[in-house]
Amino acid sequence: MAPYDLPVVLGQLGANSVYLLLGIAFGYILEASGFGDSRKLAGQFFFRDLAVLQVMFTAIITCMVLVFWATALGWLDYEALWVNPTYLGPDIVGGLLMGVGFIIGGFCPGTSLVSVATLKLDGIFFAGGVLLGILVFGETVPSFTRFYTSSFYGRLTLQDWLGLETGTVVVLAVCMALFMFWGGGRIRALVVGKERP
Amino acid sequence: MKLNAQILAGSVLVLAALGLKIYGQPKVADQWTHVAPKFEPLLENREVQIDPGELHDLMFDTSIKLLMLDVRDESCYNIFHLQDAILVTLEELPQLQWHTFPANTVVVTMSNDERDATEAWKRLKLLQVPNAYILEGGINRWLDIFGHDEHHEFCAPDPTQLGNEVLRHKFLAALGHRQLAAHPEMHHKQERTYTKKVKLANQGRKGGGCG
Repeated sequence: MAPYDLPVVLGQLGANSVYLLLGIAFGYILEASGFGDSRKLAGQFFFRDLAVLQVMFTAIITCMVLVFWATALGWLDYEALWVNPTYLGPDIVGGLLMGVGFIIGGFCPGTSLVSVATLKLDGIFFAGGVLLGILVFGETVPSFTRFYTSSFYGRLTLQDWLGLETGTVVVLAVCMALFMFWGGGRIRALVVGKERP
Repeated sequence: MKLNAQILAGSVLVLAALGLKIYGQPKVADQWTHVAPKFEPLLENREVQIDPGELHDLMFDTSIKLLMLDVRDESCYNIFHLQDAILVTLEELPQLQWHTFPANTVVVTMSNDERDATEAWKRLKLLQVPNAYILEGGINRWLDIFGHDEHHEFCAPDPTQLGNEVLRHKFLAALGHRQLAAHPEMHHKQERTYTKKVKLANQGRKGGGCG
């Protein structure tokens, strides 16, 4: 039953090969989706281009359905999956910082690496900034550890938060995603229509 | 054509989600069926049932964090429980935020005998708790060994009552942990020999993130 400890199952070389293949596939998909272009990414925030919403949210709900179907069929042990623990205050501040960086720079960390792969200068500078930011964080985090580890809620999932069963949450998430795709398309049509004389 | 493909994909996802809601997620019994080949031998070979003497030694072991979970009903817990043992129901086990406990946490489940503690242990293994054990013989055996102030002939093991999760030992008052048997003195360590079974296992979970 998944998840499998790949180094144990395939050996370290086999596991590294799997990681490499997954990374190549992920990078390929991101580049094929146009996410190596900062203009396409930034366009999300101005409702000019909803590719980020459509691709990422589609991936999320597809993965959600597959994960919970695999769990229901006994192929996957959901409790063994890592879920990032929730630190609400730091998560909000970190999300805000990342959002500001995203719209200013036009990349998130992953897509900046995609851009670096195709030698785009803005991606290279953004990735350099990410590495510098990581270094600065590592050197300064002892000074704000109290905040960094505050408002801890543990392994908190939507099912836990809403008090609903898993199937209900999945249905709601899928419906919400499809509604957002439809609504986003309508908003995009309005925005693009207004921009054209 | 593109719109039809989008509608088809969206419909497939909605149908899959609705199907998942109807099919449901596996119940505890179903989950255990999948992992039973891995964990049932541990129970059958008595590899996770630790002697009261070993639990007693763990109480004084500063290299580990000992978490004792008492899964009996509240009245038994109030009558007598081990010092620092936490009363918890089986349904509350998933809410204990297991991943926040340090890697050297040893969890010992206990009930009056072993039946309910074993069920709790199974739930802990489903929750990926690595260092989980069962108090062998339960509270009844603990009190058989360490005794209590009101120990008398009615506390002797009754073959017809063994294993049915009844607290055999009689107490005149519900003192909880406020008696010597709840936390026996360290000198008891020299009085009991047992096979050591607790071995710290790695947590195994790894971090992750995305960008």
